Amino acid sequence: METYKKGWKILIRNPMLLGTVILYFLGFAVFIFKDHQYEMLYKNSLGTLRETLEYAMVPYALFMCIGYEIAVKMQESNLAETVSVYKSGLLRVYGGWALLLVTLAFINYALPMGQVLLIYQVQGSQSGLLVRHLLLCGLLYHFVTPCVGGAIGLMLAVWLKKRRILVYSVVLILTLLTTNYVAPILFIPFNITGQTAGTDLLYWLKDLFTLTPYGLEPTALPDILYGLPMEPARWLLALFWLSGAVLVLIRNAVPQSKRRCVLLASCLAISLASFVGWAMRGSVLIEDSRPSAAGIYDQLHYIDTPYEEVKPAFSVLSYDLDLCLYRELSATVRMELSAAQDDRDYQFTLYHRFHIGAIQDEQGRDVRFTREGDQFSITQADMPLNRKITVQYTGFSPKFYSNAQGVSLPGYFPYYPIAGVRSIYSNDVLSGYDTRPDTHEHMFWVQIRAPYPVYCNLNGSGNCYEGVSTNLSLFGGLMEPIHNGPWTLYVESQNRNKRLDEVLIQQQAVYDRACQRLGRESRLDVTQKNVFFLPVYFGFGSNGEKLEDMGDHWLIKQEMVDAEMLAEEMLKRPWNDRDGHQDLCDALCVYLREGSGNTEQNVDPHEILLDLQTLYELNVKDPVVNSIDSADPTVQAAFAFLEKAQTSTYFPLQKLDAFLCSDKEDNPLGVLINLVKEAMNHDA
Amino acid sequence: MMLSITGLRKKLGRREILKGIDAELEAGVVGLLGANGAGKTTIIRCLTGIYDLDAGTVAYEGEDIQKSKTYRPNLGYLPQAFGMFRELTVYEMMDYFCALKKVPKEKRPAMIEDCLQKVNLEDRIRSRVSTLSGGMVRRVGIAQSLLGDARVIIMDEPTSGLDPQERARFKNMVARMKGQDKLALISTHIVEDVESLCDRVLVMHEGQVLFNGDCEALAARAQGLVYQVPNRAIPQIKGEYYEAQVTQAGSRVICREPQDFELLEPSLEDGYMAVMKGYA
Amino acid sequence: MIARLRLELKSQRLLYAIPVVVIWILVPLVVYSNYLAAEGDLFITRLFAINSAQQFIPLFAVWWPVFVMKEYLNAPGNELLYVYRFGWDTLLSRMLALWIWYGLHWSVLCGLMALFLPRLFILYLLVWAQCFFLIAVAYGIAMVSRNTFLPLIVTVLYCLGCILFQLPASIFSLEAPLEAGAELWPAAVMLAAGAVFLVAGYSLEKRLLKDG
Repeated sequence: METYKKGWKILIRNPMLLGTVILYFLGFAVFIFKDHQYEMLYKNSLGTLRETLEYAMVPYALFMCIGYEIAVKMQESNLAETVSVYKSGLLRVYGGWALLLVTLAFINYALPMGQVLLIYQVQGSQSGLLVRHLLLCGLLYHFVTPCVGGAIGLMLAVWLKKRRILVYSVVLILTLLTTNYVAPILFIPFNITGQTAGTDLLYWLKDLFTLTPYGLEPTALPDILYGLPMEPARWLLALFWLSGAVLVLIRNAVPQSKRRCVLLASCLAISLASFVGWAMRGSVLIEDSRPSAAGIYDQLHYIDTPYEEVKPAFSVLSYDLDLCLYRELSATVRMELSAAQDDRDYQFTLYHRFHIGAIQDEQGRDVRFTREGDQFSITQADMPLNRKITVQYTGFSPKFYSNAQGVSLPGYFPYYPIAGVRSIYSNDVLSGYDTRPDTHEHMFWVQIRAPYPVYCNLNGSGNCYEGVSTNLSLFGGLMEPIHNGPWTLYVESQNRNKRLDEVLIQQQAVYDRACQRLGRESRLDVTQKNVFFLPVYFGFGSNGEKLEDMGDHWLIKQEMVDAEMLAEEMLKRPWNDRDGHQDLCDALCVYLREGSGNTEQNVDPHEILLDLQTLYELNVKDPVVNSIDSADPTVQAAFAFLEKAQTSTYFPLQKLDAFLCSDKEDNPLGVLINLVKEAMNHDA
Repeated sequence: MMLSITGLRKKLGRREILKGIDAELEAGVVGLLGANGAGKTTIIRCLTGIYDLDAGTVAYEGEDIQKSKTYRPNLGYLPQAFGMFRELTVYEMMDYFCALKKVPKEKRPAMIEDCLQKVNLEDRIRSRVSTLSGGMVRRVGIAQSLLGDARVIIMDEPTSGLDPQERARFKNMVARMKGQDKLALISTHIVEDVESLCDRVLVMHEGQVLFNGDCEALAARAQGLVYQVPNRAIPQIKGEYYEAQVTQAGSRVICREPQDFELLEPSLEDGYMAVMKGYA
Repeated sequence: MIARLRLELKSQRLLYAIPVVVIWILVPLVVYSNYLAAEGDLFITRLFAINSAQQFIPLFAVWWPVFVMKEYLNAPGNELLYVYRFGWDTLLSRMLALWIWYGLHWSVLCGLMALFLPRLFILYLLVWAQCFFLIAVAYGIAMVSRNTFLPLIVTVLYCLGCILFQLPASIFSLEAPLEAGAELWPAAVMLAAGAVFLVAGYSLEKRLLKDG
């Protein structure tokens, strides 16, 4: 304690150190609280925490520098030799420094967490899991990481002593390795060879030094969602560095003795165990630019993997899934199959990163199978007579994560064996995951072993579900159910207070009204089936799907509701996505959303026609430069005119809707002009 | 016997610095004399426990210093390069050392004042270390080595940077330690300091002890070897010789073989050189 | 002065090689690998060359100057270096010489890249200007603070701030094609600011030991 107190005196009386510490904490406080009013407005505790971590490598580097500057005083003051004579002298001095750094790290933790917890309180969420996540995430990155930085600083002082330039070069390198600054270097092997192995290896090495959240760059926010930064692997990495630094300190500070050997051996054992634990990290959602990252891995993997879908000759009658979510997904799936309609092999699709351990029959005897890519197949001869097999597999997807922190497995993704050969991801024009759900119904029994509630589209509770459905979606982690009668929404905990059920009802009403005005049958109803809201930054599908009808449930991207764009998305569903149509689709959505449908307003159709003609000519000349602006008053007026011209037997807007649904290649403006002319004639 | 050194060997890197040192050190003031690179600092670091021994033992009152629980609390050490945290005051720095030595808190103020008084720095007790001169820092270093009523005080070049007045004060302080049950081991290459301070002297050369005895005995080793030689007669000296002092009147020369020049009474320095050169 | 400077650089031994490795191995490797990834598309390769050159080359411009200044500011017995100094034998002249020497390396590299990639002249000028500014800043801060790690930290933070956080007041223009007609006023500002730092630094250098 005395060396700790003296350490404070030394820090306070050193203008450089004190100035640095004060300036940093002042700057940090300003950074955290500068947007306080917006934080209070948006009430997103996870988002607030995310923003406090945006520059997490700064305290990491700063604590390294402070730790070094404090500890190197021993060398600069020529005190090390004097102090080392006393029993545990050096150890006590370093311990005092370490405690001082821990105290500073605690202040670094308390500042942002005060803001975050305040927002949580205001948010109104009641999720214990969310609070735990916020506190632990903050603890890892606002407290432990600076402590690791400080420990490394102490270690550098002991190891490199007064060689400041070398020390600060090391600090710089360690800090840069936590950022994407080094990405161009890491990509050299991939760029040269076209193979991902080299770059992935370099990124793996970079991960060893990445003690701050992944994906840090000016435009990308760090990923902290669903506890993934909270994985044991990340704590183990911090422990690896801490124990490594302590190892160096002990080696220097403790004289040769049995005690020293024991301490060194313990540190080494902890360090090695931590390293191994970190290396075996399993399912981790990585969102930086490496080839194995969530957004890129499958895109690269499926580039040269052409798919020819094969309809199965059989169907799966029932699934009995026993799933364990720990480091990754471990599954035991018992399936009962129907008889094959022909003599083809029984082919299944299971994502290639799930490694099949064994396939057995009901008696536990091994069943022969072949695995290739996303498919595995069993010949008719090898299939047990009763067609009941058990498939055991483990693995993970870099995109659809599944671990002890959270799970996001939409039903369209083959994380359990699907009959037949179907694509998982296609790199064609609509590059992205194939989000078509299965069309056959199956009986499901599901048991999930996970340290959090997992929600499913089937009936059940306590992570046990059963029912008949075409597919099985599993979501869990920082999610909570909101019940509105028989209708249930599964939302992120921090969005609990957003009254998403009411928003959905509103959006449904907007959609229904718009359909009415278009003369279209209102086919989609998000209030009739349970809804799973997907994480804010989780771009599933990656070809822009924001809303998926999974048969007995919906998958909706959170921002669709946040931005009140759901009705628009539902409206656009049947419309053809071809070039040229999109602009008119957007304009029509604007009209239907913002146009009051007030058909009493007088508009001169001749003027509209003239302006439309001008627009048409410009558009034909250069469709890119003269594309239709969605708020263009002429186009909006044309829509208003068409709606006004509607009668009980004449629906020009419906014709426009039909055209947008078709794959006709006519110029949309031309079609609009024709409709206006037709409406004028009809009116006449 | 306070400190017993038996068969002490130490390598640094590939070089063997200490090549088997044996010595018995009783209470009193012992000088450690040797040229640069003789191994003085290395042996001191072995005695203070900073270095591990490659071979041999060092015992404090019969117990190995590595295992002894009483050795370190009774040890005071002033290294060759000594400094303090510039931000702290002299008192705070001394208090820091007291904490490391586990001196009880209630005894510290009086002890600190007493030790600083011995080095004539009691008026700078509240001064920041950054305001002290190099010599003052050294004196504080001497003072901290006395903390905790140390019984074994090891000082490496204690008088470097001290002005003549402070050197005299230091000598007086050491002189007062004689007769107390304390061992002061002073490493220096200034023979004059050894002569005025020490009861016994260890002469080291290339990792070995060439002489271990009292000062008179060391001086006596050069008996019959020291001559006054006129400068023009230097070439006539037979065999190996060493010019200890050259003046206009003539040179004081230490010779390996008997010469026909005027014999002089050997000083401690003559004895030291004779031993170092292997003439005696 | 050149002879002494040559010895000072020689005394850095392996550390001297770091900027050389960056210029002659790292940057060309990054550019070449991106050329392969772009399947020979020179337009894309040129953009990567612009980014890599700005990202890595100015950052290491202060390396040699910092190590040379270290001997004069922090090394034991540095007074001796001030005793035997005559005429142009100053730290300022060393900074300018090292800037030119580093710039020559860059010139050769840029010249070689220009054999394959078009329109690199603007980039060439900008990197020269940025190196000048950074060396001048390092020199000025070293003269004020009397140490060399602070200049290193400041220049590194400046570079990273501009690159990672896209701070203003920088000529780093990543992602910009730097075609003819690109604005060169940031370079002029850098040169002027650098000159101010050099002048201020030199006035402090003259009084370096005299004030203690």
